[in-house]
Amino acid sequence: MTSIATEQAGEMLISKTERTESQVVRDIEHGETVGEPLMEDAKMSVRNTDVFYGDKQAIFGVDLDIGKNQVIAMIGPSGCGKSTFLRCLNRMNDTVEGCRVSGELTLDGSDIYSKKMDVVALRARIGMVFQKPNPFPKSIYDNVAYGPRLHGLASRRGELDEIVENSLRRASLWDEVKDRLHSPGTGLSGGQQQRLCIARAIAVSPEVILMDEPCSALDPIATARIEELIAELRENYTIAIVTHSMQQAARVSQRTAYFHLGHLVEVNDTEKVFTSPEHELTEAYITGRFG
Amino acid sequence: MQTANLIIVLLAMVGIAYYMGRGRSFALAKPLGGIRHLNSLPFYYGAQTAIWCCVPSLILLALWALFDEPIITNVVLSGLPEAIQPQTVADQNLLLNRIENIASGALAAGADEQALSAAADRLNGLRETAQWVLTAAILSLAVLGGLWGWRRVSPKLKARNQVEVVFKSTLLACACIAILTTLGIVFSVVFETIRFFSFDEVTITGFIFGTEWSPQIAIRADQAGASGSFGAVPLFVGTLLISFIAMVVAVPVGLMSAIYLAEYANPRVRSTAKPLLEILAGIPTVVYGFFAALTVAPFLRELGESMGLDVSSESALAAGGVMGIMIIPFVSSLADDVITAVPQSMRDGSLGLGATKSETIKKVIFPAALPGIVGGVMLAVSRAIGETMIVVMAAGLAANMTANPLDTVTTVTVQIVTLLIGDQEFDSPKTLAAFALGLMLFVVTLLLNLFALRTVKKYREQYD
Ligand SMILES: Nc1ncnc2c1ncn2[C@@H]1O[C@H](COP(=O)(O)OP(=O)(O)OP(=O)(O)O)[C@@H](O)[C@H]1O
Ligand SMILES: [Mg+2]
Repeated sequence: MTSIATEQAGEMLISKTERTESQVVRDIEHGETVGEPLMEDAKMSVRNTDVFYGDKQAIFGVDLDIGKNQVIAMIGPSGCGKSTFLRCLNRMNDTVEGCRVSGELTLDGSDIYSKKMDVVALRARIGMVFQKPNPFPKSIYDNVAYGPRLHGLASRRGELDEIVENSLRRASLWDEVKDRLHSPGTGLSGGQQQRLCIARAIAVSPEVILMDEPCSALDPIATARIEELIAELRENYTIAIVTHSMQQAARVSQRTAYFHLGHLVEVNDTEKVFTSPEHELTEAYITGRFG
Repeated sequence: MQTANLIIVLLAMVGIAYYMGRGRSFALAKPLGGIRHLNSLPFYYGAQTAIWCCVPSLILLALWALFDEPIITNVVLSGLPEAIQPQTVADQNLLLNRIENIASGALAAGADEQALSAAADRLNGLRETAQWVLTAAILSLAVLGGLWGWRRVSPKLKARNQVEVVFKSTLLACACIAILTTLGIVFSVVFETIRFFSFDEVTITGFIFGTEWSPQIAIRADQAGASGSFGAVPLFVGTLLISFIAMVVAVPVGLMSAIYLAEYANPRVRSTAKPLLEILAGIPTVVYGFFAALTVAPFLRELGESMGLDVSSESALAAGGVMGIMIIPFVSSLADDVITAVPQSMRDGSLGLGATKSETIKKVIFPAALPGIVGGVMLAVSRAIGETMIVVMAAGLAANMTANPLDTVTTVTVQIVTLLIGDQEFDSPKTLAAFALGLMLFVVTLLLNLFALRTVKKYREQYD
């Protein structure tokens, strides 16, 4: 597998200068993912997955493993299907009208899309932080307590308080809000709201956290805090993060997946992707030639 | 020229003025090197000229319409011989009417009424002259105004700002019409209400707190009859009872159907079911009245009888229930709007935490939409309180003070209707009571609306 991919990439590098982008695109439609999309002992694995919006296909035959206690970054040009792919992982695409997912997606070996899978329980195990902060129009406390209350994680008020405080501390928001836990979450700044959403997601102790461009609206300080948080969360959780910032991908992730027009082009260790990408499209993207 | 024709001619002149003003601006712009060098676009110069042409003439026309008749009749009256000069206002009106009729040829003047037929001729003559003067004045004012506006056109003229000012004033005037009409209605009701309270039989406290309503009073002094008592409490109790029943029907059904349509129904069902539901709002209330009086009330009565209950043939339950059905689309379409306005990101956030759809609705969507829903419900309550036709047909006339929905009650609106269609003199307390009731109803619905607005403001949960 790996050797074929390398061969292919090598072949591509030779003729790089002569070929137009459309030829490259035609290429990836037949090509396989280069690098190491698969791994041993994966937390989640995705095989041969297609996603359609109505008649339009958005994801083409993706194979990918997501490792335990690792951060995998997903990068690629706008509209290449990163969000779509991420939303497949906790079946958020179910709520999108006309969206169809095929292939085999498993969490700890059990099929996510099987009839027996309880979507509600699945989403409690695979939390999600959305691209745009979306705190509920409730108090800060109630925002964080929402999930634990839903799943009956706390039997006493004290326990709930503890969960809330813990989650807020881990999202490094506690010091800023501890005096106004009962004021509305929507009154926080954009960066605080995003950290509130992260606190809300980790309050239910999911096993996997999906983050869709969590820092796209944040200033560098808040971004740095969230990156610290991700590094810390990795010890207990498995994280998949979509980002448009190469530096961020390089800083927080162990593996990086490059998507292009719905195809998974390359997956490798982050360091390798950013120092010596195997696929020419990846190289073009990270050196800023397009995307 | 007839006034209608005059206005048509005036419009034509306004059109010409527009084109002339616009043309002049083009002509002026040419040597300067194009319309870029004008202060405003040619449209504004044209509009400016048109405004100068029409506004002064329209003002004159309005003033004329106000003062034309009084002046002419005054002149005619003062020209009458001393002997038949009217003494009182009523006499004067009678006389004027007669002259008017003679002038229009509807009546022939009697042989002994030389003076009157002379006055009639005078009236006709004056009117004709006045119309000619008006025509001449309006047309020349329009021409002069148009010329003035046309002359003013110059590259430096700030035509755009002036036109904007006129436009703004027109909008303001229209807004004032709505407000002034409301004020006028309120004042006329208040005025009649004051007259009502000036009768000896009624007192304000007796009206607001009195518990007996029997507006029948003796028409003639020698008639044996009730002296009439005007305690509005039973009417308001009846109104509230029926409105309450209506809301008990409308709020749950309306809300749940809104939630179904907004959250569960697939687009096809939604696009057919929503218009169907809104058809309910288009059914005339008279038809609901039939339905309540002829179908629902007898049905309830039979049902009650079979269960050994005493249901009167015109029950609050029938009227209120049918009114509730009428209000369902009100509640559901407002609630549907606010529920669909809750951003999808809220739903995603909740579902992403592992909430079920119904948990999401209960805990996130409903609270977020609550202010809007409360507002909608309050509007529906106002609607129920003011609703007339259904209750006239189905609620009955007996002013019972009861909370029993199976009993017959009457409402404020029903009483207003019955008070006003009686053959009473207009200035009897019985008739004037209708205005007092109307005012009180107005105040109650106003308070409800204010309360609703405040609730909505207070509990508005913000989301972006
Ligand atoms: N709800 C939808 N219905 C139809 N097409 C959709 C829908 N959502 C996404 N798409 C399409 O699927 C493709 C992938 O979209 P997706 O949102 O996954 O891109 P993305 O990689 O997340 O882009 P970005 O970086 O801009 O967020 C796009 O071509 C988009 O137009
Ligand atoms: Mg996206």
